Amino acid sequence: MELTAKDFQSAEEVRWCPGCGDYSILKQFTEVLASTGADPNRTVVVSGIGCSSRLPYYVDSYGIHSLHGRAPAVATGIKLANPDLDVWIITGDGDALSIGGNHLIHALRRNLNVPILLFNNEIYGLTKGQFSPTSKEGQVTKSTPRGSVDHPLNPLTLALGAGATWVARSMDRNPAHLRDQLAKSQAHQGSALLEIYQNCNVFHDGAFEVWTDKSTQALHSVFLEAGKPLVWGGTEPTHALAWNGGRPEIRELGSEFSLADAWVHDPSDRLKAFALAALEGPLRPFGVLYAAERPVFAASHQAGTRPLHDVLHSGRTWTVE
Amino acid sequence: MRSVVVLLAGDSGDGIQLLGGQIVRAAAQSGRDVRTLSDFPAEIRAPQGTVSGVSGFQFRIASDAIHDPGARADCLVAFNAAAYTKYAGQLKPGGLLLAATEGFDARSLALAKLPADADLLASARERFRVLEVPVKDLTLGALAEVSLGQRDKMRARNMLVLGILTWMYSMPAADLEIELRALFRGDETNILAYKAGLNFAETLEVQDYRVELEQQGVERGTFKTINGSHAVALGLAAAAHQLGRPMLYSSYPITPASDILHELAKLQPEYVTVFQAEDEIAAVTSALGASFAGGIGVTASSGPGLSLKAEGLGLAVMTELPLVLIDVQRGGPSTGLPTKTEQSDLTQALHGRHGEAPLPVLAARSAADAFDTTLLAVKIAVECMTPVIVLSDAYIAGSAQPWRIPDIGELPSITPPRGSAGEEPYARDAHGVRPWVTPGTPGGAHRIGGLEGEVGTGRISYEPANHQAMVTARAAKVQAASRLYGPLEVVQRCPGADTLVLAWGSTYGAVRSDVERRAAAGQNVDYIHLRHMHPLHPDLKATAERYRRVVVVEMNEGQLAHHLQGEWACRVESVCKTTGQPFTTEELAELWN
Repeated sequence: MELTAKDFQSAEEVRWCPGCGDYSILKQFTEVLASTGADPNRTVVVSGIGCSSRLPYYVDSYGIHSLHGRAPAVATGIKLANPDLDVWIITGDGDALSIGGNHLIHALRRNLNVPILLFNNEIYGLTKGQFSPTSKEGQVTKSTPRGSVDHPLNPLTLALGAGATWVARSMDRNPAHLRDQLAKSQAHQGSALLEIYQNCNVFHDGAFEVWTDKSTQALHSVFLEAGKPLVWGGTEPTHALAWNGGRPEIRELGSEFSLADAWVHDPSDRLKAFALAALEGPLRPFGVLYAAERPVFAASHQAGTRPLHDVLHSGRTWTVE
Repeated sequence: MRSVVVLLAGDSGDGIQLLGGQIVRAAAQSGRDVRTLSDFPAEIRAPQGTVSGVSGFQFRIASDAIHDPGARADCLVAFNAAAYTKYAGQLKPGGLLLAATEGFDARSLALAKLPADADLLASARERFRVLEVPVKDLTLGALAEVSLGQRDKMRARNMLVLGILTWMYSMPAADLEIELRALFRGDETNILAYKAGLNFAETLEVQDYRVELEQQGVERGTFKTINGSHAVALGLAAAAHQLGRPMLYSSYPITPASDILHELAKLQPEYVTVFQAEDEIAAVTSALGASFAGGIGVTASSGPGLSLKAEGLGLAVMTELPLVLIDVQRGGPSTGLPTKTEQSDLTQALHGRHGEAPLPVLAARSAADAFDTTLLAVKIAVECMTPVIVLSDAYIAGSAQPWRIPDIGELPSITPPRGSAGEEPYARDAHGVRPWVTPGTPGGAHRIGGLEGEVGTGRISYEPANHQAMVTARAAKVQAASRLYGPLEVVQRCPGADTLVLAWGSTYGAVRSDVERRAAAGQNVDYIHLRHMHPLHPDLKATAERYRRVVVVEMNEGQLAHHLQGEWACRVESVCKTTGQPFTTEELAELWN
């Protein structure tokens, strides 16, 4: 019997603030579990602490709501004990990049075989509105009434630097794109870091509006597809990116620069993925920046090929009659 | 009974620990009982020739059962002036000083910050028997035909000394040679030096110093030498075997716990998967993840690492998953004395968590006992669905002794709680234990986490009465772990004794020798050595109340004494020290009466 998204919704009452971007992510997540034929008996959703990390309670599968920042470590233990389980990590910008930064980079470099969904809302929501490691300089929050002086961290360049084999970005307000990216993150063999722009309408409303609002999205978002030119601007693209000697350059499409001159996206090119990830201005890339193959982190369990008796008796022994 | 205590001392680069390890193995294999005590600097290669760089290894060989490595040495082997300076006070008056001649030259005196005209050996002759051995000349002579530089040849001088000691203590020289050939994988350099030492001792100089020790097997069975780290590793392998589930050992390198990691790495992939985590927190939380997934998660650390793991232990208590944490205690707080021993983490193990978070705490008394204690810890963790802390220490981790290898049939059973779907995640059986329904079980999907769960269902609950009920249920479940203990062991019972000695952990050997000596001298004292720090053995309180005096001996500032007074509202006398060194029986004799 095929399962539907509804079969993956638990009986728990969902308790995010009305209007929170997490609702959309949860909906797309359960739809992707259904559409990809996930087995709820073998699916394990692991989270840390924060608004995003409440998600496992709302999914009818196995789940553990663990400690602040520690989800990658808990997931590592789960995969080492039973590599056949489909494990997902749900985390946020504070959880993954501040208190859990160490666990995140090590999971990525080891290529732990799990998708990591990083809900980025550039704020601490559950603790009611302090600046986070992705908050902008100058951002006014409860703990920075005169504006934050911290320089923000870029989750995508961090992931690439840590040796991630799959790095992508999507957003809560584009369900079709988000479902596509979720499915791809699940299909990847290895650590798949998916940054999801998620609006916190209570403490940092509109943080990503230029990229998520239909009226402005086309002007500022480049949607990546392997083998396709990097263009944007509407149904008829008006702009393109050029790979100008290793420096991304924004060009207007026209007689001087045609579609044929545009930079063609190659997700296997790590250097170009860095260049895309480093776009921190008004233009932002969405989709799979980088995808590579590398052996996944695993340990083989081979029960009892050497009898315990031999293990205990290894080394020099002597017998007293 | 005859026994000898030998103290080896030299630079930390002189191979003292290796030398000691070989002698202990040989002595044990020849049917004597052996106990050891290592004393080495925290630095890998401390400044050469200086007092701070001295590495020491003490061992005691006996014809009968012994429990401690002895106090003062019958023989001190000093590789240099610094080693002699550091340890001369531990050599008995009239004892034998075996001095490497070259280690007492002008340069050695300068490195040891002694006056250039100090004639150490002349003054030593006034107090001790002195045997000067030209270790350097003998080593270089034995290796004359070997094409190595002098510096490399000199690395074999510990083997030359091994040859001398093998002869002096009438150890099986041929067996040891086989052992060395295996150890050095056919490299003849060390063997040549070893044989030269044997020949030197036999043919020339050492006749007067030979000590014959009868060989009497104390117990029947098959034996090997084992130290605490090795014992924990084998105990874990045996536990995984008995449980029949995957074991994940996650740890982050820290002295003196790292040797468990090294030992277990050798046992992969059977019985255990070893994961070297990015930090202490990842070590405990990945272990917990393995337990959630249906394996058994194990981690280890030492003082500061135990503090870092407190957060993860809280989650383990809350989720009620099995987990074993081995704390190899060292001198603290902070980095403290990372290679020295102490029992000062007891309070942290018992109470060092946020919230009401009781968990069982066990303590190993010796290297051999660490095997049994580790097995019991896994049994309690799984059968009670709780994290368990095992307290070991630097002394147990590094000290070697003969160990009778148990038959597989003697090992305790380890039975996981029920695990099929259909029961609520936090339903409890008669002992208060919840089911262990692991991912992959059809129809068993459920969510657990750090938030307080509702009685039975485990769903998030902030209800006041529910929290009280869960706090009470978790504590009661831990208390019920004592059903898995054996009967209370009284180590020594004297007629009409009105004094009870209570000790725990690695003080066992010294305290046992001390109470035996007291009994022999007519001072009737009984002795109980605790393995179960929490919950305490159910019969302990009633037993202790029968004595006029209760004397608690421990290597801290009285942590067990405080714990017992809190639990029992009684008065106990505290005998303690915090020097980073184990008690000796001589010390204990003076510390209380």
